[in-house]
Amino acid sequence: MNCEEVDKLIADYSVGNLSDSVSQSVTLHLDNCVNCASELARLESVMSMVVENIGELEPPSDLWQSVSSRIAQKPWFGLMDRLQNAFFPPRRAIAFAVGFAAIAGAVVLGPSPKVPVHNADMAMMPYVADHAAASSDDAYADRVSLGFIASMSSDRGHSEQ
Amino acid sequence: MKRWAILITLVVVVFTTWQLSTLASRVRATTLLSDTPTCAYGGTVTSRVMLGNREYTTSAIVSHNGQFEMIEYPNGVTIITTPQETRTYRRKTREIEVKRAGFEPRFPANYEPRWVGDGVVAGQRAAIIDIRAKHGKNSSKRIWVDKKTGVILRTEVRDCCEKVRSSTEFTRISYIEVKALADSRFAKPEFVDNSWVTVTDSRANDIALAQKAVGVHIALPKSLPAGYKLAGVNVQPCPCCPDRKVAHIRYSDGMNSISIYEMSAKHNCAKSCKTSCKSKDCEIMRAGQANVTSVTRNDKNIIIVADIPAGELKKIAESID
Repeated sequence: MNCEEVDKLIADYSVGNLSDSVSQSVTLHLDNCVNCASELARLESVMSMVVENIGELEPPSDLWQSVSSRIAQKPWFGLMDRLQNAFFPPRRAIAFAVGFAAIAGAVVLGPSPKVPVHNADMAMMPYVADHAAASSDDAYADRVSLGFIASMSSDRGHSEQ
Repeated sequence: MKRWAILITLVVVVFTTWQLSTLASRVRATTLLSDTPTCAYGGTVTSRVMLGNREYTTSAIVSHNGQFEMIEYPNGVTIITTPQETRTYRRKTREIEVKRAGFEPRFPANYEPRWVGDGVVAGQRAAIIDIRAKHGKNSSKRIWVDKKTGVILRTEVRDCCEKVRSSTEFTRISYIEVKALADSRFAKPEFVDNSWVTVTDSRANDIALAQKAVGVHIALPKSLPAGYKLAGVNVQPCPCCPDRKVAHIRYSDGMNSISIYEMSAKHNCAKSCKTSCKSKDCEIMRAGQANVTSVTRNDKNIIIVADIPAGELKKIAESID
């Protein structure tokens, strides 16, 4: 293991997050490398300072009382906030309004809603077949497939894939 | 200022090139389509059809001598088309159905052909042409035309959402001398004898005559998609219950059709076919290339089949009194 590899692992090594085998390799390197050992020492000293000074944070016991008393002193506090928001809406509100306008515009100006279409009952096939037979007069009609549809009313299920 | 001039010039050049290439592809497609094939040919085709969400496939033998055409299906159905009529021979029922040719409803002004590329079908070099409606979002066609003979080697019918609803393609084709396929070869299939029954189509092409024959007042739709014109009025056996008469009003825009079947509500045909629907918002169903709906108006049942989007079909149904 070289210095670069140890440098990447040293933070995890200092808090014991490495596996035994990797940790042993780092230890072996640190025993023989002054630079990396001093880096570890510096890191451990910083960590100890942080742990000592953070302690366990808790909110002050009188926090809620002070907040509620401030609200009670300013009866228009909530209303003013609302008014301010109304005249100067946050970005989310603007984005929402733009999105809503776009959707509304698409609904009003866009194509009419699609008519639901279901697969035809085979009972309709005689009409579809007759229509297909009559359509073979059309220009560039695919007479083979139209004739096939027309023939299927008398031979249902032929060669189904 | 100089940069702006260069930019504008570039835009103009690109736009002009694009317009010219579009025009060239249209001219090329129109030229290819105007050469009506006069050669004779025979071959095998494969056809695929979407019915609802199911795909059905068949093979067929096609022979053509420039005027007459014969399509032989493996299920015993043979269709012979002549300039005057189309005869369908059904082996299972030993019936011959004759339909006279309709009007010549070819309205090239409604459609725009466009050459989109080249391809090879059944070993023949083909030009690929898209044919799209100028009005609305009707189904479109893509055809592969043999560059030498003008024969359509492959056809795809696409719905308004560009989904292929049916396709037919030559898997093998042989060009032969017209003399080798004489008209007499298309008189009738070899297996047809005198015991076959002919069901003749009585094409009235007259609404008053059709009303009298069917016994109901025939109402025409007030709303039709752009480009569609009346292509025929038939009185024919009801496709569902052949002992009853039905009026078949057909509109075409040259490439796609709208079929309106009107019949008396007195007979129970509609009930047996499950086609009765009293509401104006009848269910619209997909079948093959077409959409289908049925409505009941006063004393008659109406069934509409059309190769158009469901919304257009709904408008037609609602516009019939």
